[in-house]
Amino acid sequence: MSKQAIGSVVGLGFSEISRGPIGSTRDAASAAVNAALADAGRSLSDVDGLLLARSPAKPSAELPLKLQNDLGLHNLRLYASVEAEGASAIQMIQQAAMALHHGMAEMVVCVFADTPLQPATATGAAAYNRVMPLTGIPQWEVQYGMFGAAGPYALAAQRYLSTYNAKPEYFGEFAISNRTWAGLNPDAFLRKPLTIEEYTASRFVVEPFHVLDCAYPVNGAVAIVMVAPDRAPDFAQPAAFVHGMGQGHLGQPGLRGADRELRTGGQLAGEGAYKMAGITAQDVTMCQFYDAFSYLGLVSLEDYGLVGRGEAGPYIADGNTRPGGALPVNTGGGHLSGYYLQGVTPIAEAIIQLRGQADARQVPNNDIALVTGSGGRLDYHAAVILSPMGALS
Amino acid sequence: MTEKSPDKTHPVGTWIDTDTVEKFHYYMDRGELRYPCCPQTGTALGYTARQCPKHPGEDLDWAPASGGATLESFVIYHQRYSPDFEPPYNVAMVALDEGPLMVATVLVDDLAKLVIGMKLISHFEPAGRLVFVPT
Ligand SMILES: [Zn+2]
Repeated sequence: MSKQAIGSVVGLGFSEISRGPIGSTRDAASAAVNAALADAGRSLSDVDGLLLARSPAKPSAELPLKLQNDLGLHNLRLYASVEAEGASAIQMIQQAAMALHHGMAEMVVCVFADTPLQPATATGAAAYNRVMPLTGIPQWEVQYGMFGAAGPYALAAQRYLSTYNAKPEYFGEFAISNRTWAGLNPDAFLRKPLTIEEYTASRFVVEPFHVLDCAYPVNGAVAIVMVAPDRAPDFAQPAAFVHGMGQGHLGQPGLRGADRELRTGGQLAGEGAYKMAGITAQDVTMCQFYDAFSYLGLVSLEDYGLVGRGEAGPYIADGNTRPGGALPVNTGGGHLSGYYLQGVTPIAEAIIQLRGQADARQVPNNDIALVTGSGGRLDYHAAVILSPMGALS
Repeated sequence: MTEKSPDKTHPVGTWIDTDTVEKFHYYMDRGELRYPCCPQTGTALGYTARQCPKHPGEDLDWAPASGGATLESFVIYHQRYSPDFEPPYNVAMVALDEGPLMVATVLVDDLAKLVIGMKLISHFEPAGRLVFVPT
């Protein structure tokens, strides 16, 4: 008995992606949608579903539902802006797949767009200085100077180091793994080879995080085109089939012992995605993780059952996630060395790998890709299992 | 019913939340650190709670905290995000002895003295900010 796919991705498109100005978020979204449709060989008149996602650091007006009118789309049968912070991109795929599976729409375009780098916010620290609430009392963290996302994530990372008596260099090993892949990807932004000595010598942002532990922000947009799996053969591009989908949102009880930073909702999301796909973690041949910070690479390997608790650091340091390793991870360079477009970076890379179009960085076995999203401070998780095969045996 | 706190200013900005949080600030303004707990059993809840999930719809109680706490995690800011905070400075996650977690800072003369698991005691600064000091 074989397991049939739920949905399929048949188009992938990018706006200009740059550290410099590219125009408005809204216009970038339109550019990516147009590019994705061109890639799929279809036109706007074929689209009857549209899903949007944006950065939680941006107001809804940056990417409003009026985008439909910008594009000139009429008679949509599915349309929403998905709000789950860093898990939004994966959730767009999930919502589109469900709608396609039930015949609610026939062709759905999903688009994420962000333009964090403006003249006044030209650095990552300036672009991402908002306060992430961890305590549960609004604005509480402001009085302690806990600005930006690096601090909250570094609190989790520090606890990980202490709990497992792990070396901080393990975070660097993940950054190096990503950078090694980026060196094979002409579209990655940070491609220069990185050594552990260079990593250790780089400046701290929020200790234990160095600047090289942080995602590399860019301006840009990515869109994908999805149809029901039985229609995928009609398209020129090889399809990426959706086989498993899961989410995990554990909630913050705010009490000692919950350890939400060490065992996140990724575990729940993974269990759901594996079960739906009829596979186990051992069947995964490639991972594209949401890595806003290097720590997510480690905790994702553990949450998604690919290694045991506390084992991710040595596993990465041994080269398993690098080119030629047993389990390729973030094969385009990820958010750290590729480009940071919150959650669509891993999706785009998975599609390129599943199509067999990754050239120098093409993985030897692209059968089963685990692609994840993570939002809040390790709060909101979503995952999909993608494959170039329409049916999994 | 707990009386609503009078109009007041806080060291940072305007608070917008539920009545639950209003009560927290009512006590904080009087130099009392309290934590939310179940009105039926007194079981400690986190500051994220707005009701006891086992007794929904009832106002939370606020129990006085002993002030004792443990350092759960800490980070050191080297990046300058605001002129009000001169790096390097620490931001800590502390667990009150009663269980609730909160972000704060630990007053130490040397950041190298910070160790996860170290015992702390709460302290109100003259301006009203809650901080923790090693015991
Ligand atoms: Zn209760």
